[in-house]
Amino acid sequence: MLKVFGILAMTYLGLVAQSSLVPGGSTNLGGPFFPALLLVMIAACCGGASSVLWSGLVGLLLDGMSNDKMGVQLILAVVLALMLQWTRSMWGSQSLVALVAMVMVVCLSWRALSPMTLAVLSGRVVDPQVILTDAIQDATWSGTIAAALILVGRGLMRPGIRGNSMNLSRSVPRMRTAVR
Amino acid sequence: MTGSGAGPVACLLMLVGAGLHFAPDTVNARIRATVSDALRPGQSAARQVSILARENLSQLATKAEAARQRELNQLQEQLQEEQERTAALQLQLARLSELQNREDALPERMRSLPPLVSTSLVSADVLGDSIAEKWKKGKLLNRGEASGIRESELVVKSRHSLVDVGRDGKLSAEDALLLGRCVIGKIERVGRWTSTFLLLTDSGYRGRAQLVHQTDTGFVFVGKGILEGQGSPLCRLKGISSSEAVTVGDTVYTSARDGQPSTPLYYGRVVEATLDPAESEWMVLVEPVPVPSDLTSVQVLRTSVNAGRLTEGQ
Repeated sequence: MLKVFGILAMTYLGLVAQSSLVPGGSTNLGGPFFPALLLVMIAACCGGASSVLWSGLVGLLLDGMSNDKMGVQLILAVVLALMLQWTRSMWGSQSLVALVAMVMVVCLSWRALSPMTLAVLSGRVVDPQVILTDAIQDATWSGTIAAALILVGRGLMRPGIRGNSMNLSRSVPRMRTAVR
Repeated sequence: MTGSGAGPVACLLMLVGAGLHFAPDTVNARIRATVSDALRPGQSAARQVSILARENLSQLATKAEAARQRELNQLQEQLQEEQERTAALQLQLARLSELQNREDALPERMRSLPPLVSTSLVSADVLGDSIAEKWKKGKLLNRGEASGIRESELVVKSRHSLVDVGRDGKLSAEDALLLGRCVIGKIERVGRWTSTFLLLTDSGYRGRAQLVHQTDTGFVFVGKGILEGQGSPLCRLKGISSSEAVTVGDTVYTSARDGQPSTPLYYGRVVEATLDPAESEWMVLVEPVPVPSDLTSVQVLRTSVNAGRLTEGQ
């Protein structure tokens, strides 16, 4: 229950941040793409069907937040969720580098495929070079934000983990004595 | 392992996505309105946080820098006000001559009738940007159906009444409210408590427009056309016949249509006008009013039928 609430809350915050805090189209510097971070977080927290469902929810909400044709973000989110599931099954690493790399790849793929797909569907001509440049900028921002968030999160969790390991080491000698 | 349940769930979700893509616009509009309304509390909170952060950051700057910035902002505001005052006065001149011509053509009985449509301005806060591709970004507002906002209503930039036209003759109350106002977009979709608007420069913006051209005898309205956003900093004005005279520097205003206020609102000015001998229309590019990147509030032009005019006819 707590996990469900946590994922819902993070999804809400991520989309609010994307629409309210990330600079709009007037800047050429790009910005973080929080839905990519959400997808990687969901993949790290849960697996299988639930991961795909939550990712689909992120995509659906993203569709609802946009002025473009609906359904595209939902399908992209599901495809990227499946890709993340496959990556986890192959490598399964939760290191900082692995997580940041996943965020950057998801962001790059999403920010490149989304405008191209929408352009094809609406019969609009776009410059792939511009799209790719924008996608790389967004992926860099997203990777940086992800690294910062992971480091802060792990830093906050560390005292709790140390405390638990100390309790475990104290209990082991008593167990050995009992066995003798 | 991707999990045995992931595949079927993914297929189902993709089917849902495809269904949404081909669903009627009313269904999609309802979903979008629901999502916008649900996110509104968080966006309002985020907006307050960013305003507070900006204020605190500006307080950290040295006093001299802050004073310089304040002076710069004041000068920019004054410049903008002067530019908009000039635009309003041009328009006023053109409208007076057109009103006179129109009134002379009306039967006596109809000259004293009140206008069919009455207008009001509704203030709205900008909550953020819609998550869309750069050619069709759109902005989110914290006003929706509950505030009487409807689709296609114009969004204007200026908060202040810029031009003191009350003393000038033959101008209506609507003119006093609207003269000098600059259009920056129009409402695209409306939820219960939120709405989105497209900027003039967003692909998908279309609005009726007319040119005001300076002649030897003064300012006159010339050709009417459609102003289109192109997803770039300049808009395109289509439908201006090759028989019209268009020059760089002409100003572009909204053009009235049934149910819309008759006071034209400022769109921008012509920066490029070319006429290919083989074409029947001018290729006109318009530079719209600049919209600040930190736009925090706008006003929505709300129109309603004048009840006085309806009872007059009974």
